[in-house]
Amino acid sequence: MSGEQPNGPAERPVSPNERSADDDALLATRAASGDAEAFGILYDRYVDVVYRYVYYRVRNEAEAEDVTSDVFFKALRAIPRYTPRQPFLAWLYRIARNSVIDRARRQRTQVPFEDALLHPHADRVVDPDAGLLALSDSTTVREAIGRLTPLQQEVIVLRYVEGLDTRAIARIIGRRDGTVRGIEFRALGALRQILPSREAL
Amino acid sequence: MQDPRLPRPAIRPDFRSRLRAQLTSEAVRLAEERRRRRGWPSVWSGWLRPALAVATVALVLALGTGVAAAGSLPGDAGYPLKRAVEETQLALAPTGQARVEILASHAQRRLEELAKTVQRADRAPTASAEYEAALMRFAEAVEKLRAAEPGTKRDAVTDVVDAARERHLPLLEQLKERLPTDARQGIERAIEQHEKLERGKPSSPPGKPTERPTRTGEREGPRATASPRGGRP
Repeated sequence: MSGEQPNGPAERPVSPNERSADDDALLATRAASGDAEAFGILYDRYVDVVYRYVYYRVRNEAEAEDVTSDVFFKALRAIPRYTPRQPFLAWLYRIARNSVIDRARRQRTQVPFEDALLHPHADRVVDPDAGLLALSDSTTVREAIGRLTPLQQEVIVLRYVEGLDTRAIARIIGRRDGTVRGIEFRALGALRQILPSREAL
Repeated sequence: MQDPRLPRPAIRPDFRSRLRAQLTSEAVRLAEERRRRRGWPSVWSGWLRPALAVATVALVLALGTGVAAAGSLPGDAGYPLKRAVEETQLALAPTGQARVEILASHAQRRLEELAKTVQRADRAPTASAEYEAALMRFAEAVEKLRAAEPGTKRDAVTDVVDAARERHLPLLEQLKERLPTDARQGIERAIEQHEKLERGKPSSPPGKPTERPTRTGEREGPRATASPRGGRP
């Protein structure tokens, strides 16, 4: 046996994202078998992303910390059940999403989405001149964003906070690329209905 | 359309590091816990689960029948269960004195069973033998404790003996007349046993004469003896 597969697919370059996914899977396996430091590395890698996602869903710093903490403790307990079929971040997002929903059910109150813009550390932004930030004073926009569905909010956060592309978002939320584009399109459309300066989006 | 970005709120560094430390610590704890449990699944899926199921059913049945067993008489179906419960109770007695007290209550129970057999002549000999055996065990435990324990504990045991005698003798006298002959012999031996216990008491302090306890209005029996601790009304 030569080890080659003449009829198989040709070997293609491995992207950094794929390497990261493989690495995540390996770390998750180690963490599941009791390697605390492996879980620590995963935590270091994703805590900021999870925190921002949670923050935009609960829109309060203390709550965001609580939920983030909850997410990682749940992940730690559930990691033996994690399977690398889905990206580790997608798995974390799912836990985060459920935690946010559970919390909302318990509290029956949600802080308006756009209050996230008032975060004490919001000066640490990417592209501070970007359109949505510039529009953050608009009550109309705030109301529009507040009316987005949770899924639309997720897509908006992943797209406009994390700067992920459609394909990455699709993997995380478990939808097809086209579906994600549709969700984003409708979310932006909903915002455009009420934006005072439509060209910002 | 341009690609605007929303603000990216940053996590507080101290929260970040504190949570990491907590998670790492929890990860170590969970790993240890999982290691400890590792041996259980095979046992659990093997014999432990059915065994526990059987035990649970047995317990439920025992609890259900236990109520019925509590009122059973020698020869009844539930009687062995009643005795098994008593033996367990005895086995759990923390001290010698507690053991004596439990045996006293068992003897009392046998006497009550014996009294119930007045209407059931066929059960009377068995009930009489059961009572005699219970009293014997009680007497042995008392003697053992008297030999081993000094002072206050001996007094406490004497109290138990006195109390048992006060309750048992009047009833035994009554039953002696009403039960069949074969049961009556057992009662005679039991009365003698009570007297033996009485004689084995520690010496009495001066000026405290006692007498065999009798119910109000009952004549003094021939076995009335001096008691160092005094009789009870």
